[in-house]
Amino acid sequence: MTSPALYLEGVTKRFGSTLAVDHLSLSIPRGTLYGFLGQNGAGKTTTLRMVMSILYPDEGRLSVLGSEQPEAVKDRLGYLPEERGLYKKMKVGSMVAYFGRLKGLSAGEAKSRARQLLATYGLGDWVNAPCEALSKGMAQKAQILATLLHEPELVILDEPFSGLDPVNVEAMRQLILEMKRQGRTVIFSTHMMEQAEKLCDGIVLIHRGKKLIDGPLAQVRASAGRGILLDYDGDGSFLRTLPGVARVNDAGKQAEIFLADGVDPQTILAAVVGRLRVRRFDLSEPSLHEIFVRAVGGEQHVA
Amino acid sequence: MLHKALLVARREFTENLRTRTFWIGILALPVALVFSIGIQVLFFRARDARHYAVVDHSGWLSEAVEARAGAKDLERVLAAAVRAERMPGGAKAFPEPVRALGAELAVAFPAAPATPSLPTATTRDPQAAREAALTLGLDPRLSKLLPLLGARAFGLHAEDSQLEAALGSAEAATRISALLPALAAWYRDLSADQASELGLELARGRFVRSHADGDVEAELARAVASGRLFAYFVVPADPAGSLEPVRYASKNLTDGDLRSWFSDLADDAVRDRRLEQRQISPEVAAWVQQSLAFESRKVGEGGEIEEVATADRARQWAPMAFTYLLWFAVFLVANMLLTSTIEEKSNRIMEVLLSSVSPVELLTGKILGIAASGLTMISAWLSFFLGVAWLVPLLFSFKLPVNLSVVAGDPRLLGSFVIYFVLGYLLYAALLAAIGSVCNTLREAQNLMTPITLLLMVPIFGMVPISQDPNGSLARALSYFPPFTPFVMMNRAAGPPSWLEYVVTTVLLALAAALALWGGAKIFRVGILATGKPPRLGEILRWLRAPVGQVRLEQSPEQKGQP
Repeated sequence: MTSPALYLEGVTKRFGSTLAVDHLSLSIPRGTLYGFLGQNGAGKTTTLRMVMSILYPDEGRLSVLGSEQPEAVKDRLGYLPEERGLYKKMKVGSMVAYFGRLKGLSAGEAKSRARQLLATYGLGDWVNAPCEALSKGMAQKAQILATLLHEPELVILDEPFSGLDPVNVEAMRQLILEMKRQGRTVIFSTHMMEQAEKLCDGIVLIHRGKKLIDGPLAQVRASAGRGILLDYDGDGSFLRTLPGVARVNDAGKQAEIFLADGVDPQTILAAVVGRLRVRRFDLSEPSLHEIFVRAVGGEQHVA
Repeated sequence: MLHKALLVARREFTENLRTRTFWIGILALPVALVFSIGIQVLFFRARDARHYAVVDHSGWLSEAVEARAGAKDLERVLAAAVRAERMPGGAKAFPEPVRALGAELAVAFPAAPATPSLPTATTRDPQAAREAALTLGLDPRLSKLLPLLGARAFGLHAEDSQLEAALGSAEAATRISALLPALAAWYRDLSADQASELGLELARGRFVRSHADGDVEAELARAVASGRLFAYFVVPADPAGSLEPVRYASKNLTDGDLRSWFSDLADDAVRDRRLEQRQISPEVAAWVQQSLAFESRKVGEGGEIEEVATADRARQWAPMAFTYLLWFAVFLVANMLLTSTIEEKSNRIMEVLLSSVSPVELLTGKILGIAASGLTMISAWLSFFLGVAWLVPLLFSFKLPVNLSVVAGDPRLLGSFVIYFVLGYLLYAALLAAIGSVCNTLREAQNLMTPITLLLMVPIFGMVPISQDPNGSLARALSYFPPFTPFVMMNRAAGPPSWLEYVVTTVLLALAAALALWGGAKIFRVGILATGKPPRLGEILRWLRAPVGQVRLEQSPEQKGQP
């Protein structure tokens, strides 16, 4: 377990004149749950595709599971792309087994593992049904099981939460946590900061192909300084005009308030109490959202 | 590497076998074939008898036509009766006078049918070809006798001497002649419906003469207009002595069956009458009319003169059939590849696959797997045709005009078919896989397919001219253009082209296929990940120029020795 699960050094990828990934360096330790954060088009998918040797970097070094030839360890990786489909007419069981076989499992093993895994995750009755009969949530589950059949050491999930309803988002979260419990390294990309906030051990923030922030989540947040988390009812528009307030992220019912240096949070509490119905007043580390907005210079908003 | 490609191939194949389209495809061709033939036969059988009337100013022609029609019908009936007698236990329930004579003839000519004289493509007279087809399976002596019997039953010209010669003895001639009046009587009472039920396409069942009252033309015209009559004829007073035409009037002039049937028979009758008037014997007339015979010889490559046997006919015929099959196979199988590539793209499954297999493995697997599916389909069709070719002669004691073993035993045909299929398929598969990889929907692909479809039409349009002149300059020139090579060279097999041409064109084709696979793979590996509008040609050319895999990390020398 000496070499990192993923190591990038100055990795660069161009598509024609666009610079998709710009001298990206990164090290992700084994056994961790890591989030790739950034806006759409930031270069997350391109980076992940290079890790999967679907694309090749134009410059830089890339080592996956200690191997400088990512192709050689392909069978030890599991990949769920953002654009994920199923063979519509194929039986669920055979399709999951097929992806396992492509990763080097024997025919018999792939088949029995597929049955077992599908049964464990509640798809046991669907083994012989065609994939097109699955609901979207079930299809999602089948897809991810197909990437896990060969018990990969490193699992890469590109936007695993996109297009899922809350129930399925929760199911996906549980699956990811379970992968981590099983000792796998999991990397997932997302533009949904709340999900990353709840799950990740570490994050890397990518903007326009460049790395902005990278490190264990606690460290990233601690270094960003503390702020006030305010849950309230009423009209909060006056908050940003209060003296001593540097920035406000106001979501309508909840606001993050960041103060200028040396301002006592008590003065804010005093100013707020009369004008709003306060449900919670908390001193806390900033949200990933705030960290992200600060990092990209506040000029862009995150979805 | 190959292991994963084979896994992909196996999935392509087994999943294809599970689709309904595949089985529909397998069944479609035979079913369509049987159906289209069956429909034609049914239409012919189900056609109502045509009613016609004759205003006969000559007083003899219409009777002469009817007698001749009857003679021809009896000939047909007797031929069928003899054939039925010869079938083991298969004597059809023919009415007694027919069965009796049929049995008599079957005894008189016990020999199994010798090699039947077949209607050859060179027969210029369609009438003769039809007669030959009618008596198919009967030996020549019997084929000669039956028209005589028919003629005699209707009191037409048939000398005793001819009958004796055909039957071998005067005694047999008298015995058989004695049976004829009963036969004629049976025919006289035969209704149109009964005649159609016999299923022998008798004139009695197809054309029914109505004896119109008064025979006034205006009245007949009204009958035709009302649909009671299909047509009527007006025969002039002296058809044998003048050039005055016979009038044929009908609402429907496109269906010429009745007209040509009547005119053939009337022609014969008028000719006989003219011979009689000039006192020329029919034998002399027949001899005068006998056309000059021609026979074909093939000059071999060494200058030797060979007889044209049925085997050669197979050799002339086979290249066309093989070209069609080859063309169809290449087109069909390459199209399946296109569809399956687009399916994987539009189902967003490409990227999942690419995380496990490389684009080249994927392409290789698809090409192999789909070739296997396509070949399964084609073999099913081939077995169907061969099965039919083998069964039909067995069931209907009918011999195919070609010898299939000649086709099977000629390495130039089967060997080159296999080689041309493999190379031609690889060439077109690479092109279509590249097209499929850059498109997201079948509709987009159809546009890009147009040039290739047009290209593929050339060998089809050239098929007849090339087979007529397999070593002509057009055929030669087209052979050297790799996209046409498989089809044109297959088409020229009857020539045949020299071995040098075979080698040179095949090498060119192989090079072109390799080039197409190389380029196709490059486009494929970029195209399969591209979404949105299909790229323009310039962009595709840029993909082709880019080095394979761009910068491959393991190949950069400065990284060697790093941990």
